[in-house]
Amino acid sequence: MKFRQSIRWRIQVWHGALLLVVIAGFCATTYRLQESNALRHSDVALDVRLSTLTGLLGHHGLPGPPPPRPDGPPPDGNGPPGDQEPPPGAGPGRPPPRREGGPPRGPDRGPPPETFDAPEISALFNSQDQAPFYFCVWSRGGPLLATSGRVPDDEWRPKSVEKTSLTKMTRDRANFREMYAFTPPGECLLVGQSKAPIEREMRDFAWKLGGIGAGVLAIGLAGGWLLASRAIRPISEISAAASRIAAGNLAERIHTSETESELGQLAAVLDETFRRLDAAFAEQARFTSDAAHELRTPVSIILGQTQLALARERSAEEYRATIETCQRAAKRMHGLIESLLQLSVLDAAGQPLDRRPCDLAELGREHLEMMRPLADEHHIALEADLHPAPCAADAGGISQILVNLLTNAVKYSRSGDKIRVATHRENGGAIIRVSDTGPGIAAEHLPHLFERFYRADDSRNRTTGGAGLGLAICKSIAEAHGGKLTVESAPDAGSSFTLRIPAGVDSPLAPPGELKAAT
Amino acid sequence: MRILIVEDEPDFLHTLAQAMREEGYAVDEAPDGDEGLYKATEWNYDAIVLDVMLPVMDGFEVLRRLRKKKKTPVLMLTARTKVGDRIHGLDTGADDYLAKPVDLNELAARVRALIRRANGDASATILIGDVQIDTAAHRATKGGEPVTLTAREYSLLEFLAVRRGKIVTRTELYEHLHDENDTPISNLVDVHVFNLRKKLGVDFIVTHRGQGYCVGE
Repeated sequence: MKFRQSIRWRIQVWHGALLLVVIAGFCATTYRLQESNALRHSDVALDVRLSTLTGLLGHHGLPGPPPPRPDGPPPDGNGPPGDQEPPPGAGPGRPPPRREGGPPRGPDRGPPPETFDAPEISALFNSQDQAPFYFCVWSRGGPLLATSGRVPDDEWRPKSVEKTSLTKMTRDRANFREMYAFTPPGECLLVGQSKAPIEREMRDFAWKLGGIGAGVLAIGLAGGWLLASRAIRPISEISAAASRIAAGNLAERIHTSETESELGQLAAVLDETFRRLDAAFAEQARFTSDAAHELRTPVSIILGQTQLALARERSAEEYRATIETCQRAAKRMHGLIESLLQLSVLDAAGQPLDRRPCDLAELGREHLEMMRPLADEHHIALEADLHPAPCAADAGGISQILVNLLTNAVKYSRSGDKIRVATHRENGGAIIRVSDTGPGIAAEHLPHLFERFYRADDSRNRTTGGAGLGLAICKSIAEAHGGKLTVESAPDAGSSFTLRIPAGVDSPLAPPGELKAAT
Repeated sequence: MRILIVEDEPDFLHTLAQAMREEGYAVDEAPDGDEGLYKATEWNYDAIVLDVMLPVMDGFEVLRRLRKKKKTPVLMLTARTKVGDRIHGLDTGADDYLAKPVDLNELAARVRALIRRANGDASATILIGDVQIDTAAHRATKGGEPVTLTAREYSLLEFLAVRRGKIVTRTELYEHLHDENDTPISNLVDVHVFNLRKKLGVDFIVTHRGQGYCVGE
């Protein structure tokens, strides 16, 4: 198994990706919140200062605007020219207010120093601050009236708005956060602060956040790996046990502590599969061994007889006896091989049966008559209770079953016993029953009676012949018909074998067969 | 020597019995475990060939019950070649094991070896005076010269020779030289002893009056 294809790996990848998305989202949100928080803090400070400044100016009065100097714009290098002096026609609907109030430079500058040197101001705009504040005041026309220290060089006057009230507005200009307002007369007050400390703080915060995020991710991944391992471990155990069983001892079972979980169910299913495989293999091995054993006996006879015959010169009679013995052994082998072949054909189930309409009653009658000489010889009475029992069946196969059942009945019955063959219909199918009043079969043998090579009574099998395949073949034939062969018996209560052949509806051959029979 | 063969397959039993008879044994037959056990306990066989797969009572059971009463050498015969079966058989008290299909010569050799060991001999050749008896080849020589013996004479000689130094009763001789189907005439043993003395020397077989015979005293 390739590592990258393992479930653990896949779980880990998905888990990791999910974790990464969640942590990244969380970090980004936190960062944003923190950043806006810092800006709000900054804004509050700016607001305080702007208000103070506004109040101060309102109290002391602004330096009066200089008289208009219509002879041109001031050589103001502090702001972008477009802002102070938009080109004609560039701002439709916007009156060019500064044209008439164009701030003259030089003499207009310099508000009364006492105004801006007020202790409140110097306290608020202490340049010793880590992030010092600064302010600018522009006159209505545009010229800079006053500034504090540390004003950035590129400071420029915000665009004036229509309603020049004391509404405070903020702007982010380059690396600075600024807040400004316009007084009703049109002066512009602006306080600002460098954002560098905030950015530095945010950078630090980002690093911390990143570190924590990475830590959480690492812990999450490790935990996920651990959990996945824990969840996977029973699977690995089951897999290892299954491999071990498949490679070697089929009798072994998977033992898992997970009895109730899905994995426990999987283990149970595998165990059941192994049990059936094991049973099938054992059955196969037993069958092969039994077959070999059955063949070995006649082979032993032939080998022994021929070795003996060839050991020295024999009389014609002795040779004849040897050949006869060998022939008997060979016939036995032949019979056994035929039975095995028939079983293997029936097992393969690929061979379609030659099912034709027939009447079990007729077949029963025929076989009773065939059996009569043998039964008379053993002083066994034969009885018939035959009612029409039509069905679609392979007459050859049914005959084989009947011969087997009747022969068994005669073999195992004692003088004076009765054998009875009865047929009748049942549920559209047909039934034939061969029962006897013989010694019956012990309960311990009944479940195994139809097993291959099983012999209920070892003491008789050699004299009665057969390898213990007869009933197994009968059962296979019955099953090939979709039917059943069952036995009921008790010691001293006789035995009764019942063959049920269901209605031949499942057989596609039945209707044409019937047609053929009718014509 | 008289042996018992217990085997349920009539043709195979017949084959084994015939083979062992041709080896010079008196052979009794039993077709199932019950009869096998009965005969094995009733008679003092020199060896028993016992099939494992027997009706009524299997070979292991026969052996287990027999071992409570007798130490007769037993060779187990089976179609099953499983090691477990062999171990079980040997542990139950079998002296040897042979798997079917058997080679009749091997069976004969193993039975010979069993009987030899049971009588405390390690070699297949017995030397008594100047008479040498080759139990494998069923031949005897006297002073290096081969002695022509009938099958009965050889059997008698071998039986006395393996029990050399011991007195063997006439009943024992009858029991071990004839199988269940023989109807031995009582003085037949005397005839064989007489013939053997003629061939191997008058003093070779000593008669202990009222007790029996003895060789190699």
